[in-house]
Amino acid sequence: MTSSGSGGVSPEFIAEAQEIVDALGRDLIGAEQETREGREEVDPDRVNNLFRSAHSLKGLAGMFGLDAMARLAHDLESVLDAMRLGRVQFDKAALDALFAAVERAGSLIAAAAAGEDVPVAAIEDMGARLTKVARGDSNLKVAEPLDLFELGEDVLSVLTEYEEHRLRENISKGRQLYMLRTSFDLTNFDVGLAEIDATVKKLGEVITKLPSSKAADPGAISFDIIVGSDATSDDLAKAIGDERVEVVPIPRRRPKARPNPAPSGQGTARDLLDHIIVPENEGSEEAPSVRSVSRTVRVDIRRLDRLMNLVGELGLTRAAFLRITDAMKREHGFSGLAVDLYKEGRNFERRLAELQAGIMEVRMVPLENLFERMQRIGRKIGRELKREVRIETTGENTELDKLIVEDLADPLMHLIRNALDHGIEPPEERVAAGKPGEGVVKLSAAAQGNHVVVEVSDDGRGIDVKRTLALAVERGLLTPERASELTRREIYNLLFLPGFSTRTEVSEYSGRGVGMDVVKTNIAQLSGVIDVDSQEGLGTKVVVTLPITLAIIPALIVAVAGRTYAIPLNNVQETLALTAADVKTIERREVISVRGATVPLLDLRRIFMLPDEARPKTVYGVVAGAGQNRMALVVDDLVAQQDIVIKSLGRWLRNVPGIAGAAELGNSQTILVIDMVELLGEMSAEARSGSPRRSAP
Amino acid sequence: MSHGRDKSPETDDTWHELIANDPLADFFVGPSEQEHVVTSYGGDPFTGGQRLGREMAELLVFWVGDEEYAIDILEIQELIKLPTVTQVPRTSESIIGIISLRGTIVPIVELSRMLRLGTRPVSRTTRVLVLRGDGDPIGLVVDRVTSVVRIERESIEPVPRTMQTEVGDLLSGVGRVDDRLLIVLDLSAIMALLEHPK
Repeated sequence: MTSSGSGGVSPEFIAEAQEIVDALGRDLIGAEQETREGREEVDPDRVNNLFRSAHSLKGLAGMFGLDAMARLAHDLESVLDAMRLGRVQFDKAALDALFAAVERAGSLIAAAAAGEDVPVAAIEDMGARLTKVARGDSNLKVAEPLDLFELGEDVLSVLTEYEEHRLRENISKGRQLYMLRTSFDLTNFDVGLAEIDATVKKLGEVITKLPSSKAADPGAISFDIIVGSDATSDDLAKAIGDERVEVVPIPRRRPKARPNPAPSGQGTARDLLDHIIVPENEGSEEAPSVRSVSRTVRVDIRRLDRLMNLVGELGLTRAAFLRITDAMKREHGFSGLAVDLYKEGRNFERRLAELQAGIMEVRMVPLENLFERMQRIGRKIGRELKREVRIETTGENTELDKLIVEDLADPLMHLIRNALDHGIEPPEERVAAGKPGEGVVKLSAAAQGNHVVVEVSDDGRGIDVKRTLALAVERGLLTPERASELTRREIYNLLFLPGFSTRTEVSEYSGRGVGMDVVKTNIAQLSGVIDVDSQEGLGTKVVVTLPITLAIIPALIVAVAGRTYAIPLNNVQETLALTAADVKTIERREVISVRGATVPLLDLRRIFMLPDEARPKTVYGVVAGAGQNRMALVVDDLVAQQDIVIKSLGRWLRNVPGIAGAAELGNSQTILVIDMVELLGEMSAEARSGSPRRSAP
Repeated sequence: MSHGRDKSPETDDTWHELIANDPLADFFVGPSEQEHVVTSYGGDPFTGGQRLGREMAELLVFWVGDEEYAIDILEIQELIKLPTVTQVPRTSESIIGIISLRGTIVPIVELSRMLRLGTRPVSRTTRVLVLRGDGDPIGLVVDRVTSVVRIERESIEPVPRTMQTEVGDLLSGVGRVDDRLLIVLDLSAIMALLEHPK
């Protein structure tokens, strides 16, 4: 069974903590977006969400005795609470600190999952940074509550210290400030004021009553009453019910209007600090529960795999039913029990298909979390590479098999790194080229039939074709003569060759020359295809096409030299019957012609070293690949088309080149599944090296 | 053939249950099985040894070619007859292919090839020892399984110098039972060889 880690940290904890951290990251990105758009303030709901997430994380970490994480979550919570109360602003430095803290929380989760014990001391640096933000120290500006409203110096200067304090409190509670302009007869103004006092108290608080000199009538006295209230100005006016009282909302100030507010004196600065270091129990009225209210169950993906295997095996039973039915039909005619069996068999088949679809559905997860993680990583890399960049995502609701989503993370991260490092230019260079200083990396996903297309595109400098060719020649990947013959697409494909890197200096994030070929291999392992397009000066687009699921796939069952193999149908373009006359030889290589295009043949007999049985007179070519990069696999016979469950060959045979896994057929026969993408790669490697490889050892 | 039991691989089968319940227990063959096959075994194999004050090893004994080999019984998940094996190209020559064992793909290793003893003919007594393999089972093809012996762990001697051949590091020692010489296999070395073929 799944064992819990030695430290007693359960997978459920890890999963829940990860979800919280993902949510934090998502909301931070949203908050950053809103500040970037120059909104007056970050959506209060979002800030509350952030605060609650931090609080939940703290509770969760505390429950499992993970002190470092609890401490970090606590510091995070303090900052967010200060932000929630408007005491600290979402400026760049604060956001950077928050992003860094969320990042750190993520690595603490990873450490917890690995059973590592992280001492509280290890996060002290982060704690100090957050505390600084919460206090508004150093490079950070404090959001002086009084600065949030257009309150003139004439008003502020006459407030008593207590009134100033009440003013701050009201602002911190998120109340709107109003100025009630009144005018009373000098003889009985105290009655009028008392009435207003009583009315306003029901809706808020009278902060100060300032006598005003604006009164026109010499027998009257005017007051400017500052009121803090949650009510609207209309409600307030209605409640007061006196036409002589004018209710004027005090306008809020746009956040960046006063970049460096100077606290108005020593006393008040101290006062402010006291507010910002938040008492433990504040905000307890909305005490966020650690208990999740969602009606969901977390399931280990391996359990789903087991269910899927069972469904696969039921599929074999179904095939057996069909065989028996057929046999009965032949022997006894199609009547009586044979008809019943046939009907029930059909029924079983339908239910089985539903069951299969149901389990499939459970495996599917939206790309949302992955995209959000990518945004966070992209943001971090962008900052470290000193690029101004915005990462936009679309189609995050697109669903994919959970396992594919997991395995997509690494290649996607590589692609984003590449886009930031090789694509997006430094701001000065962009401005010089007439582009906005801020680059855009778009991450998008869309479903297309049984596939999902994930695109990473940037508006950077594009791929330099000349330099790419020069480098390929320099690294001996290409002869100069051959270089002049390549099409644009073939040139881009050079990027995927092992050892190719277009950066001369090695940077931390890309340029080690392992990037793109690893990406390609990873994508190929998911039965995916990767494609690059670019326009010099305008940007690069990488398109990754993936199957929706890996669990059950339609396959072509073929026979070669007495052996049976499965070929995933999504790799097959078409099949052709071939006779000896169709096969030509060019440079010792067998080729066929498919509607005018020359397609090389790949003989499984040769590459799999199958017993040297002569090739039959009529064979079939299974055409795979795209564009210039195509091949036809020679097989003796096309046996069937069938849904198969691909199983891994396991730890001991995990890297057999050209074999994607194994599958079981109805007659309890185990067959190998051919990895067409890998064979295609092998063949192009052969073509480059110039001679057919005899076979792999 | 039905296996009379339906246990997922991670169920912690004890060895005696494994042999007692396995229909293949009938197929144990060997001249000295009367003395050595433990047919009734009281108590838990994990604590049984300690009761005697010395640590005992329970070894499954089998023949490959002319030699008697042994493997710690706790490493063995089950014994099966050799089913139809699907050949896998581009693997090391001692791997004769894969089988699907109740849905799990298991590589089948011909032990005689791994031990450089050549290929052995498949006979009525040929068996596959399915090793637990740290959760990723491995099938070892052997000529016949003869018995289970209990010997003191201490009495297993290092491999004599004369046997230190190129496959020497696959052997962990030699045990003596009466006048029989049992070559004890080192499973971690076998697993390492599978994972990183030379």
